[in-house]
Amino acid sequence: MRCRSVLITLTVLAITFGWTSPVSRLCAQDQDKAASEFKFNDIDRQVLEDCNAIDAQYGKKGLLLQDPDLQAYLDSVGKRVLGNRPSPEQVQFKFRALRDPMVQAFALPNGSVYVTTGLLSLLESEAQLAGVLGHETAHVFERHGYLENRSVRKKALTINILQIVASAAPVGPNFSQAALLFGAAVQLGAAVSSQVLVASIFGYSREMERQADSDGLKAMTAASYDPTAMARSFQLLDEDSKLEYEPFQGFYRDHPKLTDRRTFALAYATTNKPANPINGAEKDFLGKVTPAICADIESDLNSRRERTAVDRATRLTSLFPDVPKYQVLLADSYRSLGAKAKIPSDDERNRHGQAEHRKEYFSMTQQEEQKRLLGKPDGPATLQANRTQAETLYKSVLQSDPTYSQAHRGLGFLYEDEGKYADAAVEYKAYLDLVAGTSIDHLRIERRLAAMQKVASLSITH
Amino acid sequence: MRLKVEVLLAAAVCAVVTVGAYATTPSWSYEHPKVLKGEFQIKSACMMPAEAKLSRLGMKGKEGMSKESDDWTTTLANLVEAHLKTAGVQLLPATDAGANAASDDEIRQVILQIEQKYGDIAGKLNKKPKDIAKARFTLGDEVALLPCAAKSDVLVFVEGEGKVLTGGKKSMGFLVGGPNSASNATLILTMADAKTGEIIGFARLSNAESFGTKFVDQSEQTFGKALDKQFNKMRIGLYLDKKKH
Repeated sequence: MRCRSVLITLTVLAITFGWTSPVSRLCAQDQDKAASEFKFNDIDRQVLEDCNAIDAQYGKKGLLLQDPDLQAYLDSVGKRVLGNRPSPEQVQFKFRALRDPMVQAFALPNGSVYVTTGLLSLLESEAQLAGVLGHETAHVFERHGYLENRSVRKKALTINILQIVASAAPVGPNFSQAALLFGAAVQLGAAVSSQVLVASIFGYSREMERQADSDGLKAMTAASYDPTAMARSFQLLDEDSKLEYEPFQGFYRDHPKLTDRRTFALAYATTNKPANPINGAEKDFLGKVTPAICADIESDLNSRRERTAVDRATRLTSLFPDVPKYQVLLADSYRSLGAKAKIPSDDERNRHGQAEHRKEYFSMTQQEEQKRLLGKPDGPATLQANRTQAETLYKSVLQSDPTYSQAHRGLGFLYEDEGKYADAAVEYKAYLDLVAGTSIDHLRIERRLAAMQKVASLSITH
Repeated sequence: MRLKVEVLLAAAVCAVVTVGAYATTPSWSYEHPKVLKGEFQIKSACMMPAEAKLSRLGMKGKEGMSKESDDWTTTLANLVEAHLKTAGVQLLPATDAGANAASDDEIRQVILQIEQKYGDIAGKLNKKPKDIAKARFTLGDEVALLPCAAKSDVLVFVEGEGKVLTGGKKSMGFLVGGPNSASNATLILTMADAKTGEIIGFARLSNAESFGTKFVDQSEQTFGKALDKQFNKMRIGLYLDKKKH
C-alpha cells in the first residue's frame, strides 16, 4: 500500500514537472530576450492590428477626453520622459486621457499610452504623472505586450494538451486497480500542472511590472523628475483603493504588491536623485488636469463611486475655493451619497466587510443599496448630514452668483428628493428660465416640473 | 450485431443534436406586465450604438477578432433595425440631434453616461431578468437627455457576444467535452422606457453550432426567426394590433 502511494506521488511529480518545465524554460527564454532582438511574427502582427482597432474604438465611442490644453500637457510630459530614445519598430507614442473612473494607466504595444481620468484625478504632481508615463512607455520599449501574449499562448497550449491527456486516463469499472490508480495520478498531475502554469502566467506578468517600474524610474530620473514621486503615487494608489470596494479581487494578482513597489522606488530614489529634481506643485498640476478631474467626478457619479466623487471634488474646492463649478460638483457628489457615509467605516474596511459590500454591490441596484443604508441605525442621520452639506454648497454658490443655473438645478433635485415639491418647482423654474431651452437637459427638467405640478394639484384637490 | 445497433443509434442522436443546433435558436424574453397588457405601446425606438464582440478560441488561448467584431456589430445592428421596422416600429439613431441644438460631442457624452448607467445594472439584469416585472431596474430619467428620446417610446440596446472555435479546439472539445466544444453566439436586446429609464423588456437569443462560423456570416438565418418570435411575445409595434384582432 505504502509502495503504491509512493509510486502515485512519483508519477504525479513526473507528470507535473515533465510537462511544465520545458514550457517554463521556453517562456524564460522569451523573457531574457532583449527587446532589440525582437522580431515580428504573424501573431504579433495580429496583436498590433487589434491594438489599432482598440484605439479607433475609443475614439469612436467618445472615450477620449478632448481638451486641447490637457492634451498638450500630456504630450509635453510624455515627450520629456521619452527623451531622445528612438521609437521601436511599429511604435508611435501617443499619450491620451481616457474617460474611465477606474484608477489605472496602460500602454498598448503600438505606443498608445492611456491614463484614465480616474488616475489623473488622484495624482498630485507632474513628477508623479511622469512616473506613470515612464512605467507605461517601458512596457512598450520592452515589447512586454507581445512577449506576454507569446508566453500565454504557449502555456495555454500546454494546459489544453494536459486536459486531453487527463481525459484519456483510464476511468471506470472495466480497468484494473493499478490502471485506475495510474489514471487518477495522471488526472491529478494534469490538474496540478495546469494550476502551476496559470500561476506562472501571473508570475511572468509581475516580473514585467517590476522591470517597467525599474525602467520607468530611470526614464523619469533622466528627465530630471524626482523619483520619490513614483513611491508617493504607489502610496496614493494604496490609500485610494480603500475608498471604494474593488470590483474584482482575483486569487492571482498580475502586479506586485504596492508596498513592495513603493519600497523599491524609495530605495532607487535614495541613490539616484537628480541634482535639481522637478516635482511640481499640486496646485499647478491640478490646474492643468482639471478637465480630467471634472469628467472623472461625473463618471464616478454615474458608476456608483460617490465617495471618490466627494474626495476629488473636495480636492478641487480646497485648492480653488472660488470656482462655482467645483462647488456645484461637490454639492452634487454629497447629494448622490444619499445615506452613504463619505468615508467607509472600520467594519466596511476589514476583509469580511469588503467582501460583504462587494457582494451587495453586484447584487443590489443603487436604489436597493440606499434603502438598505437607510435601514441602518445611523442611515437617516447620514442622509440628513449629506443633504445639509449639499444645500449649503448650492446656496453659497447662489449667494455669490444668483444666475448660476447648475446650482438651481441641483437644489431642485435635492428638494424633490426631500419631498419639498414647491421649493423644487421654484428652483427648476429658475433653472429653465436661465438656460432658456438651450441646455441638453431642459426636457428632463420640464418633465420633472410637470410631474411635480401634477402631484401638487392632486394634493390641493384632496 | 448489437454493437452495430448501438453505433447507429449514437450516430442518429448526434445527427439530431447537430441539426437541432443549426436549425433552432433558443430564445427567452422578459417583459414588464404593462407591455404585455398593452398599456405601454412600443411604436418608436431610439437605437443605442450596438456593441458586439467576437473572440477566437484556439488551443493557444483566446484571440481578439477586432475587424470581425466591427463587422458583426454592424450586422447585428442592421438585423435588429430591419426586424423592428418590419414590426412597424419607427427608428431613430441615438446620435440624432433632432431639433435640439446639442453638439455631436454633447450627444456622445450623454450616450456614454447612459451606457455607464446601463453597465451598472446589466450584470444584475442578466442574472435576474424576471425582476423586470417588479420594475427593479432603471437607468433613471437621464435618458431624457438624449434628444432622440423625446420622439421615442423606448431606447434599444443591442449587444452581441460570440466565440469562434478553431479546428483544434473543436477537436479537443470532441475529445474532452465541456462548455467550449462549439462555436456560439448570443444576442441580447434590452429596452428601456425613453421617458423614465425603466427597463421594460429584455430578450436573450443564443445559438451554438458545431461547424463553421455561420452565425457571423448569416445572422439573419441564425437570429431572424427568433427575433420575430420575441417581438411578437413582447407585442412590439404591429404585433400588438395583431393580438388585439
